Amino acid sequence: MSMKKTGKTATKKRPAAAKKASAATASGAKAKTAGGGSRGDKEQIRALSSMSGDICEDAKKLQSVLDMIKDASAPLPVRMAALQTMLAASFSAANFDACRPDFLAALRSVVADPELEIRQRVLGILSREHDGYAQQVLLDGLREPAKALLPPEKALQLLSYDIHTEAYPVARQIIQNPPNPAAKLEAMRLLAADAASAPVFEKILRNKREPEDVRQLSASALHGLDPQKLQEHARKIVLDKSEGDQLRATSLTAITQFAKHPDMIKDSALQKRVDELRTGEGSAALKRVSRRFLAKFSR
Amino acid sequence: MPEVLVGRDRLSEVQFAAYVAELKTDPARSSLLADLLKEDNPVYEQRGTAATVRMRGCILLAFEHLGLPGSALIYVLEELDNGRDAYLLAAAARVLRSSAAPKPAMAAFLIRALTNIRDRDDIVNLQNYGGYSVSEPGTTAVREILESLRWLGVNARAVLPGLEAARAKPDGRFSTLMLDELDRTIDAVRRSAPANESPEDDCCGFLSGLGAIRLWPSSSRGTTRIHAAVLEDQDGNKIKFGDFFRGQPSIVAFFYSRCDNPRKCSLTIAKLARVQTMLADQGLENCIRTAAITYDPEYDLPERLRGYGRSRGVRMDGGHRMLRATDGMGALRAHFHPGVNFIESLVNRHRVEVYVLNASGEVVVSFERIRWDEGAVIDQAVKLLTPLSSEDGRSLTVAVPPQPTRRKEPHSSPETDVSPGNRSVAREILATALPVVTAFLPKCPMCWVAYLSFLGIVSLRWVSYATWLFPLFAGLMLINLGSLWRRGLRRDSLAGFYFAAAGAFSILALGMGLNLPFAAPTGVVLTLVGSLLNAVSPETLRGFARAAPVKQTSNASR
Repeated sequence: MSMKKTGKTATKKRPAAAKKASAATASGAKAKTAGGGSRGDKEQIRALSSMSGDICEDAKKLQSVLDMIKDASAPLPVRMAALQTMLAASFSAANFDACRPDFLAALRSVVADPELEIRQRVLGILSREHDGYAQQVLLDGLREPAKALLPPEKALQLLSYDIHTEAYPVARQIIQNPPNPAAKLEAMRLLAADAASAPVFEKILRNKREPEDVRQLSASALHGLDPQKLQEHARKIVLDKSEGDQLRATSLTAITQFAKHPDMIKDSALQKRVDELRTGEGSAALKRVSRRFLAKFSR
Repeated sequence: MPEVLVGRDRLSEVQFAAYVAELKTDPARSSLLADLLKEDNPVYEQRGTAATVRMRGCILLAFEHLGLPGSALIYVLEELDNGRDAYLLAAAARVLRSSAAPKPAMAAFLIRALTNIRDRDDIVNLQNYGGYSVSEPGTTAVREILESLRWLGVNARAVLPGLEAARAKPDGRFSTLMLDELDRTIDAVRRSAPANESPEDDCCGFLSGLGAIRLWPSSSRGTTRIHAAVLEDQDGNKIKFGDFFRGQPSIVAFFYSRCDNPRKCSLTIAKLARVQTMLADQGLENCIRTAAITYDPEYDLPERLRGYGRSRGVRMDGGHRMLRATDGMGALRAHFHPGVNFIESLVNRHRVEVYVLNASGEVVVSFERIRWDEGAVIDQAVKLLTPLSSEDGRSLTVAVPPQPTRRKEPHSSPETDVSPGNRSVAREILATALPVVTAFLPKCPMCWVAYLSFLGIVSLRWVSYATWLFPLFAGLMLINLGSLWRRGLRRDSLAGFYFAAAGAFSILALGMGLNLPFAAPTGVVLTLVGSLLNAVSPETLRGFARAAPVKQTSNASR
């Protein structure tokens, strides 16, 4: 499956776009990276960290910091420090709005940077701004793994910052055929905002062959999308002796917090089972939540 | 390039851009561009918000060369009024300069856009599809807005004090470059005319011509299907559309809780809360209902509706509710024609919209796109109330009782500028004519028999072989009488039968038998009256009888 390749492409190999940029600056970058820990770089980093407050008041200063971010041949720590300076300014500088357009344009120009760390950071900042360009780049990477600039799990995480993207169909595909477990979890987190995905989460929650953390995430997503359905499944899980402690504790917590009081008082089968869990050999967490349930719903 | 761009054959964005470029150069089809800006246009189906932004920007910028037509001006002003995307705002501000003539009312929209975008501005490249500026130089939304203010010149005179105040106390939101632009703008507006000379602000006329307030003709006011749509309120109570919206006028706003534009849904619901307060201040809170309906019913569960309403001060009780459609979202869309489109179940773009419904649940007026005025919406709803005097002489406000719902013509759409006076006369004529036409139409084989029988018998005496046909027509008439008798028994009303029997007697016995001159036409009229009575339900007849002296019912009695 192509999705599987996506992860490898972005994590182990550099994408074609990044390679091109890297080749162009290879010699210079090497020379400067070798001196990444030099005294000159350290001084530069120190100077950068002290200028965030007034950076937007001086156009030349701003331009020099933005150039540093864009310079693929500069040492990575210096570029990251320049990026950090701008991020600090976005919090501390009263007039950051004035330099925001230039900052965003500079970030867009390095989304295909040879350095994964820069790409990841930059795409993260742009995604938080719901930037259409960054979203398009991330989606293209998920659809066509050869174009991927980030691992699929990271791309999905960044796309989840905006629910209005076109990421849902891609995320569903990844759940069907995940390139790695982390990507599957991120795809599930993204779909937790998609009302149409409630049946997908139900199916995963019912599937005992799924890992416990995946099923727990399904329970949490289902609570947001269809709380009534979660209550039905949670009850079945608590009654099922073959289920693991962690999932039973999660299910019982959901029931204790959100179930309707009269229904629970009348449910003698569940009351009996929870009483057994309270005194049984289960985990401390399960016993604790069982006590809480009985304190709230005992007749 | 196909004009229909939906379904499996929908265009890619590259194809879409080419299609727009084609329309731009073809004067015969350039009018289609404005239609493409409607949110519910199928071209936006299943696109993400970013794609929708790119496509709309592409359409807006097409007007830069064509000139901005009146039909597209509302979309430009809407973007300036409540948009928050730098690319779309920059495109809207630039395209405004392609409109026929600068108007003073445009200045307020530009100032609002400036306020909206100052903390979200971005460099955009209006030559590129999508507008993203990566390494090449571009413009910004603020720069385009300031340039449009300069273009307005003397027409921006009214907003000059605001611009001067912004320059006097720069709050850090303008770069040095933008401060220079601001100085140029202030200077341009100042020099455009002496301080005491300002063009007359035709704000009201300008806005009313835009289509931001639409009067819905009765022919486009929805269908009976809507009344069966099931809604669920913030407390999980289910209610049919017809049960909630019939009986009193209502004010309805659309929203969804995941809307990320605070100038759209969040502001709309906060303004709805203000409407409720104003209604209460006028003692109208029990006469006019309010409702907020979500575009996103699958996600906006009752708890979310309650939380969203509560945090914006919305009053929620039996007559004022936050609602989601649990069954009949399609009917809801057909009834309101909301300006919205979706990617899967999620909204990708929508307009600001508020509707005023009459006591039959039909949309009478809608306020669209531009920020609406709470007082104006209430005024429209109050017009649907009828004042009556109570016994002690106090003025009471009552709702007009629901009229029988008329079926909507397929594919009809709301139009603008329909005078309410003409509408009510047309409605009265239609209400009278329809039952009569219905009554006279033959609706079953028996009716056809009846028509043939009496029409044949009336002219029978001029037919040379009449004596041969007489038994046949007489038999058919008897069949008709038998059918009226049976139906009359079922309906618990034999009035139709008696009239038809009298008609038959008149035709057969008095006309044919005794050869009296006016017997046959009288018989025809009596038979027709019989058919009419048979076609109208007894409830309707009783309703007509009751409604004749008094046309309104008091709300107080409810």
